[in-house]
Amino acid sequence: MFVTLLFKECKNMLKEITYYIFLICLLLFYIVQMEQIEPLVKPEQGSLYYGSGYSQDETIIMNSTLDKLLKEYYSNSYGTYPIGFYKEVILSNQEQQQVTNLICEVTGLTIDVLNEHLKIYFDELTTALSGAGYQYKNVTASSNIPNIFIERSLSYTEFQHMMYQIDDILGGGSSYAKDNLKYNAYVSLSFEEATDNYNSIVNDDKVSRAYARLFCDYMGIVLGILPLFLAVTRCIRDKRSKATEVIYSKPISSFHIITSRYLAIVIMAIIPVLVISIMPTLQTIYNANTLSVDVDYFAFIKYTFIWLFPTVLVVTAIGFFITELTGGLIAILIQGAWWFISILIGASNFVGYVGWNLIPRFNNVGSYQIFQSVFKQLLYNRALYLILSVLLVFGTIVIYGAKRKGTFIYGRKIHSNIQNQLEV
Amino acid sequence: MAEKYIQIFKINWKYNLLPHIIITALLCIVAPFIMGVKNLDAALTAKVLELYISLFGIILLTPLFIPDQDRSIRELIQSKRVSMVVHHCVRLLAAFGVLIIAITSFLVFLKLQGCSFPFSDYLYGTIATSIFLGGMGVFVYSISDNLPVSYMIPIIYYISCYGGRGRFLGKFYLFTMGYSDISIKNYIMIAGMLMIAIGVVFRNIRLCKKIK
Repeated sequence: MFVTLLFKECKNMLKEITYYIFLICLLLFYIVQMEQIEPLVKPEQGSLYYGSGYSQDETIIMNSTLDKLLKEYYSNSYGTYPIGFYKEVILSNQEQQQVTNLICEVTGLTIDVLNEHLKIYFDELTTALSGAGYQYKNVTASSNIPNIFIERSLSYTEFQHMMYQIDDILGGGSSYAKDNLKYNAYVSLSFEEATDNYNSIVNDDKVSRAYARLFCDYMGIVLGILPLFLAVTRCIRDKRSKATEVIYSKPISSFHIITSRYLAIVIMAIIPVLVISIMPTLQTIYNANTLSVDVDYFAFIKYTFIWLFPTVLVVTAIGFFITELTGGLIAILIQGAWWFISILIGASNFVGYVGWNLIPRFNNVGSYQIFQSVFKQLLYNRALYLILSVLLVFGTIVIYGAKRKGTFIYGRKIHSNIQNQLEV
Repeated sequence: MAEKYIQIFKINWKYNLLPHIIITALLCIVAPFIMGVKNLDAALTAKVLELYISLFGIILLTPLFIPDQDRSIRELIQSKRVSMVVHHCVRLLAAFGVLIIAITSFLVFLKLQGCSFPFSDYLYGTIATSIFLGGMGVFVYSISDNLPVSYMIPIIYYISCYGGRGRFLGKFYLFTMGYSDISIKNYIMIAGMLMIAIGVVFRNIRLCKKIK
C-alpha cells in the first residue's frame, strides 16, 4: 500500500509545473556556477604564476594578521562580518586600550614606541598616496609595516589566543576570529606549494573528491531553498482542489499519507542532482585519465548523499511542517529567511565554513587539510539536520492526524477547539 | 465614489497587506543588528540596499492576487459593480506606497547613521530593483496561478545574481548600483512595471474568461 502511494505521489510530481521549474533552476544554476571550473593541471617549473591560495605557513599567517590588525587599530575602524554583511566596529577608548595592550604583547613594544612607528608609517603612507605615485621611500599601500614584528618568543598558539581576545572585544565575525585567521594570508603560491596542492588533490582526494566538494558547495545553495517550493505546493494542493475532506476520510493512516508525500518529494529532488553529477564525474574521470592518476568514481554520489541529502530532507520537512501547521505560505518566508541568513553567514568564509550552518561552504578545489579539519563537524552538522528532519516529519504527522480528527483547525488553539467540542 | 476605493483599500490593508507590512517592518528593525549601517561608503550602502532591502519588493508586491485565489471570494468580488481591475489597482497602489515609504525611511535612517551615498540615485535604484523582483512575482503569479511558484521565480533570479555570477544577465543584473551608472536601473524599472501591467491585464482577461 505504502509503495503504491509513494509511486503515485512520484507520478503526480511529474504533472506539477513547480517540479519542472525546479529542474530547470537546478540545471541552470549548475551550468552558470560550474562552467568556469578548470581541470586539474600539473604545475610546470618555470611558469610565471602558479595560482593563489591561503598559506598554511604560521609565520605568514601571523605577519599578515598583524599587518591587518595594525591598520585597523590605527584608524579605530575594524571590519567585521557578523552575518555576511560588512559591519564597521568603532571601539570605545577603554576597548581600544585593551587592543593596544594585546598588540604590545604580540610585538613586544611599549605603547609609546608602537604609536610612534605607526605614526611614521601612516604619515608616510598618506604623503605617498596623495603624491604623484603610490610608492614613497619603502612604503606602499600593501607593504608590511616596518619596525613592527611579532615577538620572537611568541608561539602560534599564544598568538591565536590573543587574536581571539581581540575578536571577542570586536563582537565576533572579525579577521581575528578562530576560523578566519588563515584567510588573512592569501598569497601567490610558489612552485613547491602548487606542487603540494596538486599532489594532495591527486593522492588524498583522488581528483574527483576535490571537485565533488565544490559541486556540493554550489548545489547546497539552491537545495537550501528549492525543495521547499515542492513541499509547499504539495501541501496546499489538497486545499486548492478542495479534496482535503475526501482524503481525510480515506481508510489510510496519516503516517502513510505524509511519509509517502514527503519521501516522493525527497526522491524526486535528489534524483536530478545525481543525474547532474554525472557530468562532472565524467569530466574528472577524463581529467584523471589524461594525467594518468587514480580517480574515485563514486565521489560525487558519496558526497551528494552525505552533504546534500540532509539539506533536501530538512528543507522539505520544514515546508511540510509549517504549511500543515499554519495552512498558509509562511513556510516560504521562514525558510527564505533561514536560507538568506545561512548564505550570508557562509559568505564570511567560503572555504571550510561548516559550524551548524544549513549550507556548509567549501568553495575551492583542493584545500584537503582544511577539509580534514572540518570533516568531523560536517558529519555532526549533517546528522543534526537528519534528526531535525525526522522530528519535523513526525510533527507533521501529528498535526495532520489531529486535523483529520477535527482537534486542530487553522487559527484556533487545539485546547479551545477540544473544549468547544466537549461543550457541544 | 471615493468611498468605494477607500473601502477596498481598508479591507485589503486589514486582510492582505498587514502581515506583509509587519514582516517588512521587522526586517527593517533587525537590519542594524545583523549588518553595519554606520558610516558606510557608497559601495557598501549599495550592497546593503540591493541585497537586503530590494527583497521587500517580493514580500509586498508578489501576493497581489492572494485575496482572489479563493474561488468563492473571487466570485463574490466579480459579482460586485466595481471591476476586478480596480481592486488590483488599489491593492497595487497600497503596496507601492508601503514599499516607497519603507525604502525611503531606511535610506533616511542610513543617512542619519553617517553613511555617504547619493540619496536620490539610491532611492530610485532600490525602488527599481524591488519593483523588478516584485513585478516578476506578480507576472508569474498571473500566468501560473500558483503562489509558491510566484515566490520561487524571483527568488531564483535573485540567487542567480548572487555572488556576481549573474553578470551575463547584462542590464538586468540586479546588483549594479555600487559600480555602475544609476541609469542602468531604468531597464529593470521599466521591465518591472511592464511585468506588473501584463500580470494584472492577463489575470483579468483570464478571470473574465473563467466567469463566461
